[in-house]
Amino acid sequence: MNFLSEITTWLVVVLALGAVAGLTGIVTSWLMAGTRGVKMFAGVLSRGIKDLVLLSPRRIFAITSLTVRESVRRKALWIGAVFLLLFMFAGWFIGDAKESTPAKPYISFVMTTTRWMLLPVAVLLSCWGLPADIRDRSLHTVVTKPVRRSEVVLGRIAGYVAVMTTLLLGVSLVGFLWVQRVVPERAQRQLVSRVPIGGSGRTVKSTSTEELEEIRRNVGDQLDIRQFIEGATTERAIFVFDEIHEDLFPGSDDIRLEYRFEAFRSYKGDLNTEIEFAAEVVNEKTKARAAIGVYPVNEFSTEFAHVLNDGKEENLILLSRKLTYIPDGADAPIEADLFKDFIVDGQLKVEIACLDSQQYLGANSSDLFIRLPDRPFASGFWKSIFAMWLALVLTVTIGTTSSCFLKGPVSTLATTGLLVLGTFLKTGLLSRLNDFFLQGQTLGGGPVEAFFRTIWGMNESSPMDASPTTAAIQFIDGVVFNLLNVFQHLIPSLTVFDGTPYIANGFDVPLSTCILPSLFITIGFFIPCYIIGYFALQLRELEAK
Amino acid sequence: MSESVIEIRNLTKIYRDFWGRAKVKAVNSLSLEVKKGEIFGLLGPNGSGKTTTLKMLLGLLFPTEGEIKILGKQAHDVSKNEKIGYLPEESYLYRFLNADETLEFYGRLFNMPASLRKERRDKLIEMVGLQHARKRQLKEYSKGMTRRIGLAQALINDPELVILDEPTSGMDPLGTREVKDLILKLRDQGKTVVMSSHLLADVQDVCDRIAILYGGELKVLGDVKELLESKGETQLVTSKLDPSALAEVEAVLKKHGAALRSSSSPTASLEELFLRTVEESKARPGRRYAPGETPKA
Repeated sequence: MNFLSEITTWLVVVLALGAVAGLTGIVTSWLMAGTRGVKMFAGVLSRGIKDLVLLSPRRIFAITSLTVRESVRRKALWIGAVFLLLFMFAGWFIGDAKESTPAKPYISFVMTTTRWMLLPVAVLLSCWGLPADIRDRSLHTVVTKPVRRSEVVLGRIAGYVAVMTTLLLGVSLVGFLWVQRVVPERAQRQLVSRVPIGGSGRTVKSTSTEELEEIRRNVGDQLDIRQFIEGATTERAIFVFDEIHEDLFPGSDDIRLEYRFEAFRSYKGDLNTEIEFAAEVVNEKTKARAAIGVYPVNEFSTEFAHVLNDGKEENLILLSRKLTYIPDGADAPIEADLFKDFIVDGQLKVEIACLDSQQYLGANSSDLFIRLPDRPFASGFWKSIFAMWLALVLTVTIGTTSSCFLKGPVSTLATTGLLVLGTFLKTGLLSRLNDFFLQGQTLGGGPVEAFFRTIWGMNESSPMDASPTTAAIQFIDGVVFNLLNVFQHLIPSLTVFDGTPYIANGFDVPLSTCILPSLFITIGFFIPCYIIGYFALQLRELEAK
Repeated sequence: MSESVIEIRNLTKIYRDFWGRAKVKAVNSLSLEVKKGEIFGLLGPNGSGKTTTLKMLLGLLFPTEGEIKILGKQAHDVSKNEKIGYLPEESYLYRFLNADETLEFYGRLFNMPASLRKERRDKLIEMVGLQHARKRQLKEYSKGMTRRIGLAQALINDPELVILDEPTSGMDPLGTREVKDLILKLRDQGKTVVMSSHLLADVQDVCDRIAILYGGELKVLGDVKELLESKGETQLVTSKLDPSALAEVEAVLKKHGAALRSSSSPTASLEELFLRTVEESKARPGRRYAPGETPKA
C-alpha cells in the first residue's frame, strides 16, 4: 500500500466532496434568501467548525451509555444466543473437510458466521436508533440541553461500537475455544499462524549470450496463474527476497522456505516417481552458487507444507546458514555463511530448476516464500477479529451517518447497499475501470454499449462498427466510466477487512495488506461521515412537518 | 424596568411542502418580550402557533423570518440551553430508562458532577412525588407520572428560564395543583417561566402576563389582572345576608347611582372541592360523606 498516494487520493476526494457541498449550500441559500441566506450559510459553517471541535467527553459518554442501555434493553445482545445455537448445530453447515486440511472449514465457519451475523446487527442498530429518536421526539429533550449535535453523532457511534464490541468479543471468544476443541488432534498443528516473507518471482531462460529471457508459458489451463519452465534445460524460476537480515531468525540455524509449485507432465513416465526440482542460492555480485537440495513436486498437490500428509512435513526447504560451494576456478568446495556470502544488501536470490526432461514446473511469485518462526494460532485469529471489529466500526459509522438524514428503512437499505457494493462488487468494478483506463476499452464496453449490444443481439466480443453512433456511445460510456472512477472512492473495500483467508489457510494476518489498510479505510470514512452526520442533523428541523 | 429574558421580533414561520411552496403560516410577524422573573402564558386554540413559537425559541424549528434573542443569545446558540429547562408537550423521554436513570442522563448532559447529580436527582424525584416508582421503567408510567418526571428533567439544571409546553396536560387535579404551586414557587425563586396551555383556568391561576395567539398572530398581550378586570363593576363579598338586609344594601347602592346586578352565595370551584376531599380522605381514610355533605374547608 502506497500510504502517501492513498492519503493524497483521500484528501482530494474529501476536499472535492466538501467543495461540492459548499457550492450547493451557497447557491441554495442565495436562491432562498439572497445575500442574507449566504451570510446565514457562512454562520452555519463557522458554528459547524466550532461544534465539530469543541466536544464534551462527559456528554458524549452520557449518550454512549444511553445507546448501550437502549440496545441492551432492546435485547440486541440476544444475537449471541443465536450464535451459540449455530455452534450447537455447526455440523449441519460445515461441509466435509479435506483430509489434508481438516481445520480449515471450522475456522472458516467461525469467521464467516461471526462476520455475517454481526454485520446485519450493526446495520440495524445504527440505522434505526436516531430515526426512532427523532420520530419519538426523545431527541428533542436531548438537543434542548447544551448538547452539540456533533456530540449526538459521536455518542451514538461510540455506543453502537461498544455494543458491537461486546458482542464480537463474546462470540469470537466462544468461537476461538470451539475451534481449539473441535479440530481433530492430528490437525492441531494446523492451528498455527505462519509468517511468510514473500519475494518476487519470474521465469527465465539463459540465452547463448548469458542474457536472461523471460518465459511466458502456460500449459493450457486458462485459470492457471503460473508460468512453466521445462525440465533439464537452462530455464529457471528465480525468486528474490528483500530485507533479509539475521535478526529475523533468532536462535535458528536454518531458514525455512516453503513452496507450492505445480508439476505438469508432458508424458506419463513413472507416476509413482515425483517430478523433482533443484534449488540453489545465488550471490548476484560474486556469481557464487550453492546448491540447497533436490525436492519433489507432486503434480496433484499444490498445498503448502502445513497440510497433513501421513504426519510428515513436506514442501519445506531447509536452507542452512552454513553452506558449501565451489567457487569459479576452484576444485574443492569451501564453506560459506549464508548471510555473509550469499545475502547481498539484504537480498536473497533463489533459483529453481526442473530436473526431469520434458516435464514442466509451474511457478509464480507466491509459490515460494520464507517462513519465519511460526506464531500461535491466537495471533492470526485475534488480528482477524480486530479487522472484523474495524469493519463493524465502519458499518456503524456509515449507518449512523445515513440515519442522520434518512429514515430507518431507507438508511438500512442505503448502508446495506454500500456494504454489498464494497464486499462483492467493488473488485469487479475496479477491474473494469482498470481495463478502461489502462487499455482504453473493456470487454463489452460500458453501460450504453452493453445496452446497445443487448438490443442488437451482439455478443460482448464482436467489434462495433466505426460509425458516429459508436463514437457517441463510446463518448457517453467514457463519461460514465470517469464518473464511476470518482464514485468508487465512496465505496469502502470491505474485502480488505476479511482476515479469514489468511487464518483458515494457516497464515498470520499481515499488517500491511489487512490490518493497516482496514484501519486507514475506517478512519478515512469516519472523518467525512462524522462531518456529514453533524451537518445533516444540525441543518435538519427536528420538528419539521 | 426589568431585563428581558426573551425578545421576539417579527417572528414568522411558514411550513413548506416538498416543492418549497408555502403550506401553512404557523406564526405571523409575532413580536413580544418576556421579562425576568415573570410567569408568561401563551394561549390559543389548537394550531394557533404556541408550540411552534416555543420550538423556535429552543432551536427545534428555524424561523422563516424574524429574530429571537433568548437570555441574550441567538436561538441556535447551544450554550443558551445551559440556563433553560424545557418540558415538551408530550414527555418525550427514553421509555426504557427508569426515573433515576433519566435524571442521571440529563444531569450528565449538563456536565454536572456526580455528587450534584445525585443531590438534584433525589430532590427532584421527591419534589414530583415519584419516590415509589424511581426504579420503574418509564414505559410502565401513567401519563401523569410521565409528566412529573418530564418536569423533573426540565429542572435538573436549576434553570433560569423554564419553558413548559402544556405542563398540566394529562395530570389529575392534585397533580395540576402541585404543578401550579411549583410554577409559583419557581417565580418566587426569581426564575422566569414561559408556559403554553389551552387550559385557561391554569393560566389564570399562575400567569402574570399572557399573550393570546390566533391563526399564528398575536391578538392580545398584557397583564392578566388588567386584562380580566371588569372596569365598570365592583364586587363585594360579605357574610350571609337575609332578604331585608339585601334590600337595604340595594337601596344604598341606588342612592349612589349604582345597581345591584346579581346576588348569590359564592360557590367554591370544583377544583377546590376535589382537593379538599382528597386531603380529607388522606387524613381520615374511613370517612364517608352523606349525599349533599362536603368536607369542611
